Amino acid sequence: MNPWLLLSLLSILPVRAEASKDLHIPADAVYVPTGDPFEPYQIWDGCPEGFTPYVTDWPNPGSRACRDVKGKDFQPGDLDAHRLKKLCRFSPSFCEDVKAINADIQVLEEKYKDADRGVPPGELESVNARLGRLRNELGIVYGLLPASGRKEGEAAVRAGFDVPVRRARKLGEASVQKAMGSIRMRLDATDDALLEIERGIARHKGRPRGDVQARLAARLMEINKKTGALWTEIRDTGLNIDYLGPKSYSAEKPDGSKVFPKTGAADLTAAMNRLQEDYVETERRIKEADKSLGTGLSPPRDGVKEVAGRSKKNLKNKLVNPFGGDVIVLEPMVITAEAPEKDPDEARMVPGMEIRGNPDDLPMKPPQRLRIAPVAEPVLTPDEPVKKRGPPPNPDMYPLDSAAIKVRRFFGATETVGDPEGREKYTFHQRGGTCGIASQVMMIAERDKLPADPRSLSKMEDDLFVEAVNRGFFVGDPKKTGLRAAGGTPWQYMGDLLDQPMKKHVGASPEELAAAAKTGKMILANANTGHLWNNPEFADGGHIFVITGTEVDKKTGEVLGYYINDTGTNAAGRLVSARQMHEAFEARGGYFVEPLE
Amino acid sequence: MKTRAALLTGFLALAACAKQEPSAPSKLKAALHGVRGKPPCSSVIAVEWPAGFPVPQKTDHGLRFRLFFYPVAGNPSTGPVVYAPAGEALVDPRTGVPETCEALPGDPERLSERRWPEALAGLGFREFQERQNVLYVKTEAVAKVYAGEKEPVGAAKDYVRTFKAIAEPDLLPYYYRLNPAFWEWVRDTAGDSIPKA
Repeated sequence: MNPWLLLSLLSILPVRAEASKDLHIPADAVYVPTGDPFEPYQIWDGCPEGFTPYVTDWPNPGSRACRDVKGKDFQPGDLDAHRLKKLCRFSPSFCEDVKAINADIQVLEEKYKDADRGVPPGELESVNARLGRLRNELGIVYGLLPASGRKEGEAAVRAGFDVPVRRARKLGEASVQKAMGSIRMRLDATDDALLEIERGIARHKGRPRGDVQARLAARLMEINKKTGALWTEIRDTGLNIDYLGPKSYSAEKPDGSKVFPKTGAADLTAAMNRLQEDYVETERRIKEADKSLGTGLSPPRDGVKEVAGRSKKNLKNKLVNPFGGDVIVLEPMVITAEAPEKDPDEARMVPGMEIRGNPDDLPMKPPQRLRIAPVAEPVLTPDEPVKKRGPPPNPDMYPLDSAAIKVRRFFGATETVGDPEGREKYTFHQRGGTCGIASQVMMIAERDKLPADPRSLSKMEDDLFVEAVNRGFFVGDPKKTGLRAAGGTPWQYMGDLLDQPMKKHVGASPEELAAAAKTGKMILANANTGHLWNNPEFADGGHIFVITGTEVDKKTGEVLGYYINDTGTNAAGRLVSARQMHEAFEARGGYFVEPLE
Repeated sequence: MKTRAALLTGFLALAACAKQEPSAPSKLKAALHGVRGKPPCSSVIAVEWPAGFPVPQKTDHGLRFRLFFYPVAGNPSTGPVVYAPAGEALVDPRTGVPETCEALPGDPERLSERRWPEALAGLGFREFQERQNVLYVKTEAVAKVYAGEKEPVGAAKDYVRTFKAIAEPDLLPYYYRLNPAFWEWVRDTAGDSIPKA
């Protein structure tokens, strides 16, 4: 056969295949525009109520579209209205709630259309929290649907609920992008100002003296303070990414499976990481300049504390709208020697988490603002210095049992299952009553092959804490100032931040725990703190930790000991004898979570 | 090799000898320890929060126990930080099922850095657990008297003495609030009780 003829035939084939696809579209199908560039249209089996089909050239010649009695084409915006209308038919009361949120989002879209920094996070959180609550009602709404046509009803409810979810997400992403743009601009201005100082230092061979030193030092202090305030905004914007729509959207579908739509949140997180890296570089430069000038400044991030030190009255505006505070613009060099006075009405600063003011007092009544400030110390003793205490008792309740395991291992009579040694690197110190969250951080870090440095893991703990509060996985009223220290994870939500298939065991026997741990997977377990730490001061308390491996008798297959990573004590790969573990486990009701993937 | 085997055998025999079996927990304690995993507690009570000692309560359906859950922050290096109760439940002791369970409103007040009475300081975990078990057993006994199932034969006096020796001193007002009627009954019967809230 002529090769050219063969090539020509082959080139026709895909076209034919495409054409054959079209053959499956029913003759009365209509094309409905969506406004989404990745899915410009949907094919429906008929026009929605109030519209009639007609033949048009879009998307293909001879395609059928819909228009109303006035001849107006069905628009992407009509699609949402149609979805809401359909939802109202199946569940009028749920529909009212969805419509109300949708209307509020529309108001926000209009109000902040031209705002430099988008919608304030407080308002976005409010919308997102309401969406979250509605999402929790989905199951009830599904349950109330009539048995006949339930499938169609569930799809209609879900599609109707998705309307405000999508809008909120889009609005949130746009706002975060705007805020990051604003931060970037001011960070660049800070860098330029730092360059001036660095040149000044270089001109005086690294050791300016007299007036020059005073002038440069004053300027550096000014920059330092403003950079600290910038850090607050970076943190707030980072939190705002967490409050984006997808969080409320990553819920169950009617068939029970979970959905995680791809959104721009990942890109925003990456952009935020870059912004933070640049910030850290700015911070480093300030420290360098500080060394030369001998001003003895604290790191810029401590500037956050200065912001917190203002009176509540001054902070009110920032609480309502952390993005709406004064834009910090670096002015030309001004020499001001006086140190800022300390405000006697100092807001209480809890390292690790800070909630300032009573949200109910605020004019706009936003939801609670959780503000996570950088910390160096644990949150457990925010007011008083940590008391000097005697050494804690030996956590090993049965030291001879543990010694026996070690001896057997030495003689090769046991086998180590799992990877306790390799997993030690994921251990870090939790901050607050967040053992459930910190333990899941370790599991996620291994699953997703994330860097295992304590700083990243702590940051992830902060992020997941906000997510847990947002999704209702962490108990305690967020208005309570001590939420992070005094709150905790209820059994029902243990493991839910992993967002992966899992088996939750309650009232399980030690044998069941041993069988699960022998698979070598990381297991999320709960045990009595008093038993686990062999310490009466913590008797009957609960603690969540990760089992990273087991020591198993080679002959009998019996689990002799468990290796655990404990973020409460920062113990990595601690060997706990089976007797101690089983007692601690049983004394707490036998809860553990076994990931299935 | 023989020496190693002999060493191993000897060591294991020694380890077996050293095992001390703890006394069995009281029935009441056993019934209550799974409360957090049962609805409605499973969604409102953090697994980290210890439960206070149960306080008897008479209801139309028979004897029940009321207990609170309170956060204890810290770790063995820092010591405990005790907070005021953050949740409360009413439990049927026969089934261990919570009939009501709720998170308490308001700020969790930070109470102190001491959890147990000074007299208990220095006790090992095992000894401490033994004392706790005693209190649980006495609680069961006094509850039966309180419910009218048994005649009072010094049970209330014995109970209140043990309770005051073992229960968290900073939480006594909260224990009183759980069921003031019970504590006043104890006062009438034993001539002693915990302070009013």
